[in-house]
Amino acid sequence: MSAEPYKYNQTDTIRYTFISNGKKGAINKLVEFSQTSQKGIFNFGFGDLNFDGTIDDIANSNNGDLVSVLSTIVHILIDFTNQHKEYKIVFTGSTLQRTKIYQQILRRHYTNFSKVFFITGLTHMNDERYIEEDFNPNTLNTYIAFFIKRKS
Amino acid sequence: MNNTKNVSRNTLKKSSDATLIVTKTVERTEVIFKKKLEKVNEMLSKTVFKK
Repeated sequence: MSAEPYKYNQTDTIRYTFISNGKKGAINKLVEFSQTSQKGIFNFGFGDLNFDGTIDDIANSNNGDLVSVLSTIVHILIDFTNQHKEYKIVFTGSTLQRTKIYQQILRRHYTNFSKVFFITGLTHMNDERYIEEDFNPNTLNTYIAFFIKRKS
Repeated sequence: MNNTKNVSRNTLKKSSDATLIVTKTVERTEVIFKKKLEKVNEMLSKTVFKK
């Protein structure tokens, strides 16, 4: 991620906000880490805070600053996992398309990300279950979700 | 005096509106993230984790 990250605020122990400043103007972004039903695993939630007070986790803001937004998210992930090194973060896209985008980003930046995080992905087993396996940047399959955990 | 009262009332109303928006934002945010979290929890309950 070569772009400069935006300045972000940690509003409480699990929430961060920042403002994306792109071609469409300022868009408020919210990141939230929620405890899942599995001990030590937190869900990564991300979305746009709309003017009317709603949040949209499906929107493609198309604000022309994707790299800066992603860079900010990576910094937030590092900050949160600095505070909670033992936590594992799970994330999946709100749409299949967005999950594929996450996978492309992880693939593209795997060399750098894997220096900082253990990265695994979730795939279907033959039955109704899922299996967590090491993230393979060269796979042609699409993962359902991703996990990251700090290495140190 | 009346103007002062109006300004105060308007300021109070704006402040009240802002509080309402923030409250609604938090509520709606919680609802949306809660729905997504439910899906994630369901997925995790069927997951064989890497040891």
